[in-house]
Amino acid sequence: MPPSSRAEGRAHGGLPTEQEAMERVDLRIKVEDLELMPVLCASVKPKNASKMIEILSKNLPIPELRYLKRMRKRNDAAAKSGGKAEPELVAIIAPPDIFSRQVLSHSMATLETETQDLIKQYCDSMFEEEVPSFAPNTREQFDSWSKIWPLNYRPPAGGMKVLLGFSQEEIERMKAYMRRATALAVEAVKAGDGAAAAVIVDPTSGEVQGEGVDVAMSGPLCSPEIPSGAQRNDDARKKRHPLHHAAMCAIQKVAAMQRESQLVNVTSKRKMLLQQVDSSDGSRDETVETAQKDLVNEGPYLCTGFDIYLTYEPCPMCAMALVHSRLRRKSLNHHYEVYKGLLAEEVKESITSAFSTT
Amino acid sequence: MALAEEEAKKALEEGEVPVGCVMVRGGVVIARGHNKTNERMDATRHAEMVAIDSLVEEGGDNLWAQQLLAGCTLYVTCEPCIMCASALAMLGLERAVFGCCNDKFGGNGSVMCMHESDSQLRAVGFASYQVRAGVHEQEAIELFKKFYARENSKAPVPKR
Ligand SMILES: [Zn+2]
Ligand SMILES: [Zn+2]
Repeated sequence: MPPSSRAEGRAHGGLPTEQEAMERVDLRIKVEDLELMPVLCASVKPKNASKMIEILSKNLPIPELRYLKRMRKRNDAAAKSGGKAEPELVAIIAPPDIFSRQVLSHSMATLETETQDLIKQYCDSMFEEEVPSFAPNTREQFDSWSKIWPLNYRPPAGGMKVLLGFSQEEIERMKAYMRRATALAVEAVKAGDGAAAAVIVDPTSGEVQGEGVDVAMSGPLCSPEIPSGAQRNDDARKKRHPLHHAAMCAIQKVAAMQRESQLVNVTSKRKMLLQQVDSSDGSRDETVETAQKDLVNEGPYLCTGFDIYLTYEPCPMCAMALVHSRLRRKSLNHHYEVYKGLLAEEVKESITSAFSTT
Repeated sequence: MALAEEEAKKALEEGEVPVGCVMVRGGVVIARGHNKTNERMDATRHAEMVAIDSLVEEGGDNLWAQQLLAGCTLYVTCEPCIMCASALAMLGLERAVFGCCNDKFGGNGSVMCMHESDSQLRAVGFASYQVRAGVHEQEAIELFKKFYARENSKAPVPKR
């Protein structure tokens, strides 16, 4: 991914506000194309609509299809009646896993009797309809897929251009973290490392959870703006871990810190349990083992919800590592929000001058 | 490939997602690794990364990114993810052989093709490598099945 001009948003004359200078970047692994899947639908008379919605949300919730509206107007019927009569509605009854392309009566049989009766009471005919099989990724997809079936999920508007909803206070905090990353990068350059630095922050506490610099000196891969004149020490480079890019180092720091605190947790939890067990007559080992398993089962996604500040755009390896580590993400599709351009000029100037003084 | 499966079984025994790999150069196994994401509490510690780390640790004076895996064949039970597939491209791997595909994150054809570097990627140090899919695919899938069967028996019974 090539470095792009980082201050494009700058207006002629006058300094841009932070909001204007920082851009939201649409970065995702892949923008999938529309895929349709059949769902079991029923037509519903307008007078039964609210009752039907109630039954469906109570007896037949389909959380995995949350991005779809449960019911929609039947366009063709409305057209036929010249728009005079109130159009019939179409409701999604069951997802494909219950439905599984069987004959309708069979698939009905998989529903509970009570639900079946209710549906029979309030619905007319049953049929198969095609709906998008996953939530849209972009505004364009949202607009075009909505014509197939109305959607609930609205992807963030604006893509590259708009940055929404940060308060001045948040911006100041973000700037502070970016300055911290810049300071790290400057130090790194002076120490003979690459110019990329990363700071991982828990936004709820404001605490820095891990930091890293480009020990690999990845050059154009992950710290693209090393001035061509800068001479790096090649002997030193030979001894470096070639994958220790800034983001990878920061993630590993977070992991190391969490392993440490888990050890503390396990030890204190174990002590506590042993005391409890000693005073009762329960089976000691079993209890301790369960406690340890509980801790382990919390899983490796320990950057969940964290933010990362990087002086440079990450390479594909680092970008995917961020996805794996579940850094702040908005949807279940393993996407995360990316903003670029925060303090772009300041970062660039600091790093360039660090190079010129070493 | 049997050695890679052996590694994957180790992961399974340790309660990790069962993926294992070996790196071979000139008919000699030079590194092996299995998934350690739980143990390391680090979601990037995939089998491939673990094997690469062991090579780096052994040191030698050939840590130059594009030479570390020169002339190597990677045997791995599951298609490398985009992260690992990128790392392999940076380290100059010659060939990757894998069992089953990784539909969600696969970097050798399923989602992206990190082994086919275009000029843009080559300019920043990604090399291309050969890929062979579907070798001992069933064995790899069986291991996953075993893992998920175990996981599900641990999970509370979902309400439905
Ligand atoms: Zn990187
Ligand atoms: Zn991987």
